[in-house]
Amino acid sequence: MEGDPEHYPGISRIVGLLKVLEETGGLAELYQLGVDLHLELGEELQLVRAAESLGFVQTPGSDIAITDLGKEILKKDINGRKKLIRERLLTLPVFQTVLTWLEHEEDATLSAETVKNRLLEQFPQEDAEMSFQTLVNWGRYAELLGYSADREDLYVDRGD
Amino acid sequence: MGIMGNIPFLRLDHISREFAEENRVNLAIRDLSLDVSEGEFVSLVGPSGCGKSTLLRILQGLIAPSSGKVFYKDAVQTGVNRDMGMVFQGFALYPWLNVRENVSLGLVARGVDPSVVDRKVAFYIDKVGLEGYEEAYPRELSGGMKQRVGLARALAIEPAILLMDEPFSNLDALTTLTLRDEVLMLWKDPEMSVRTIVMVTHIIEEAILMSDRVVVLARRPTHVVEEIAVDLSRPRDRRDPEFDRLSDRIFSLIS
Repeated sequence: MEGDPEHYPGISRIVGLLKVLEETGGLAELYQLGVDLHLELGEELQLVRAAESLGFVQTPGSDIAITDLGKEILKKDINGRKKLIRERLLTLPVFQTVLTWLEHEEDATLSAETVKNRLLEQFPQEDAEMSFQTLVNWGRYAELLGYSADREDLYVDRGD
Repeated sequence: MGIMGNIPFLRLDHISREFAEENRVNLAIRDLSLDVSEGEFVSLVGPSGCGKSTLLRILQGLIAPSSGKVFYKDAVQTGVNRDMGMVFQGFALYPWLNVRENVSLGLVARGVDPSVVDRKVAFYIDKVGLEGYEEAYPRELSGGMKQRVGLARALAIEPAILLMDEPFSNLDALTTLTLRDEVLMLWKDPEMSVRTIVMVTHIIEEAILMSDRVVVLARRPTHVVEEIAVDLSRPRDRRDPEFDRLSDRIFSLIS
């Protein structure tokens, strides 16, 4: 598949997962859901964990259930979804931390290398490379963070 | 109703298309007629190799039919129809250009004034949800985001008709669900110039979920087997019994 596989859980896939859950009545068995969607277990768990961190699903026992917030994002239009994701990202420790780092810089910019090294120190239990990719992709989607591949710089998206 | 009485918005009128192969002439499309009304979402469904993509290119005027005519707004269409935008299966993005530059390609090719290009590109990037990705290169994007670039580029020329050639077949299943929804949102968005969509797909479920009418094609040579109206309210539910009935009906026509 040309655009995939992704090494981070993309927002479009998370929204797709919520849509599937809504169609099955809001609740599914995790293992069966993975089988139905032809998702490898690791891939499914990564996606579910991401959706859970955003507050869109809960995982009681071996089940997965859509939350009210998860239902809410499905009802929103394209830019309404972005706005809701932005609000959610601002509650996540990794986004709060990285935004604080950037705000302390004069031009609100840090090199990718610096951010990855600091992530490794601050969140040693996480895969820093994956966290960085998620930061860039979710951050761009929510218009919170910008990234220049040419300069390898991460910066605060001021909307200009 | 047009001034010629019965010519609709867009019409393929008794189209045939031949091509030469090893000193003999093959008939690829045989006497195919198809009407599309303004504001309609029509899907062309059929097995692979049934010439669906060729039909889209004849509609757009990129390929001329061997016989028959294409009518658009009461007139015989000659050359490429500039009121049409195309979304491709493989995204068709230039890897060395960023999102903003890729979206601007169609406008720049039409010689649009740079300040107008900037304004329109920003507007359509925002509409498809790509704001924040302006300086990203295609290699940095997921499949879903790449196809949003393809959509923004097609929409930016402000076409009346959007042609989509298997637009979701290079995406994973979950991304596809999200993008189908978003394309329908854009189709219904009053700020969009596009009112009419013709989509080629080989996925029956996708055709029923999205379109007002499904045109079932068979191959060798390509011809219309049947046209099926989808009278289900939106948003559509795949678990609706009528959905199943339509799906079975189309499947039996194709197989």
